[in-house]
Amino acid sequence: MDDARLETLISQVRARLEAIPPAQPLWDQSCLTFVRARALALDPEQWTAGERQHANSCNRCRHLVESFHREIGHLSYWILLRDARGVAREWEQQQVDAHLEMDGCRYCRRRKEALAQRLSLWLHFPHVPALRDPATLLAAPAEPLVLARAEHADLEAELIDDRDDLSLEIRTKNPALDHKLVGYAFIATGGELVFEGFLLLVPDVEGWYTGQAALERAAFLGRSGRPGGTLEVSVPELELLGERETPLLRAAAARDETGRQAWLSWAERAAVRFADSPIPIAATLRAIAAVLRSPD
Amino acid sequence: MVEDSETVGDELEDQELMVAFYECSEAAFETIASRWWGRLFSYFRYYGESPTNAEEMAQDTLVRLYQTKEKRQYDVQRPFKPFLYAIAQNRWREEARKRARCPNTVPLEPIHELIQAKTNEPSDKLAEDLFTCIRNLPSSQQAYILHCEKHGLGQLSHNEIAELLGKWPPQITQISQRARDSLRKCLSAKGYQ
Repeated sequence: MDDARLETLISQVRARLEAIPPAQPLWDQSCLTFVRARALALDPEQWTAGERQHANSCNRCRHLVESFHREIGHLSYWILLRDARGVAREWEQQQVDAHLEMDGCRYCRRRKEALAQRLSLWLHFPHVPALRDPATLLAAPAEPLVLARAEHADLEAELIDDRDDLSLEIRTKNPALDHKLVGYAFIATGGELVFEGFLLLVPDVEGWYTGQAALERAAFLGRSGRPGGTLEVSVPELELLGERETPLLRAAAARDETGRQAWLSWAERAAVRFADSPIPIAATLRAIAAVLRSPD
Repeated sequence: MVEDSETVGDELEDQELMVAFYECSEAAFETIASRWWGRLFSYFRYYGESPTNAEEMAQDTLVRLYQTKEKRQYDVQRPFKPFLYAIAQNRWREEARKRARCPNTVPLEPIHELIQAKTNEPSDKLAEDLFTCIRNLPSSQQAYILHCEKHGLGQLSHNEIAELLGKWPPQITQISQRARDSLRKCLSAKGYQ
């Protein structure tokens, strides 16, 4: 068999495949356009009665709105928080304006309004200095170095550089914050969100409630090559966390082996509180509790 | 509902339409969507998806294309087709992973059913033999035969396949030669002269 014969055989099969058209064109006159479907995914209150009636009997339109709903990236908790606190950078402000004003995302608009009304406990480290140069670590004194410290209301936090370990410690003496979730995020000088995560405050000695997070030194040095940045710490209202934060929550609960029981207790209580809620975090809470309850 | 001017610039190239779309002409996107819908549908059908799945995955691909607007992820200086097909291929791989199927294996049975349904014949031996031979190829050669408009069953040029597979064009020439050598041997062994 030569090349020409092979191409003839392939073209015969190709002709049969090409003769098979789509079942129907993508839309007819009554179907939603991509633009309209996206607008409805961003703001469900825009649905008209006619559109609802059509979508109820049109899988294609229903799937299109669902697909946009899955693919649309919502604003992170940290950007909304920084915006509410008035410390958002220019590019963060642009992102907020584009998503809320131009796209008209009702979900994030509600989160922003709720944040503005109930500003959570918040610590802002306006400038975290550069870490000690790894090359000089051997010559450095043995004692831990407090890189940054902040306190506000009942909450205190320290970023500690202890030669091999870099950690964030958060503490309070307010018993109302026992088993409260705390979020943290480090944003490098260049604007890059280097890492973010969550921890739980649990009872410690002398009336303190504390939580620690081990941080990766390499991540902290930043990929941008520009040392330093800002560190944010916040006690978030759970209903204000979005889909973007749910994998971080799962990871935090899975990582903290010694605090497993505390996480289970927190997740179970929160899952009960949001049992009938449609917020994105509700399913995550149930999933975390289920995983932590399992014997392994 | 569909607006009166739901499409613009049928005569424009895809790249020009993407520029217009990124500059906020939403009608330009509707033109791209209607232009590529059928080809994306066929693409997923080639990969063995049912008509319903193929429709939904074609929609998902276009939705993801729409979502590139925010970060201007498509470089309008580069060819459009490989960019779109890379999104489609990622979507298909996700589906394959969900079903715990090897992402590079061509599922033959649905394609057989497809051809049989169309030709109304009990069996299409040539198609069956060809797909059996394709299935025996390494993954890069399978992808080449499925995508190549000149030597295979697809709609892409060698340069576009190179973009899609992240390889240099000379590597695609090599893959092409090996794939065709293997197919010739395989089909010859099945009695084709």
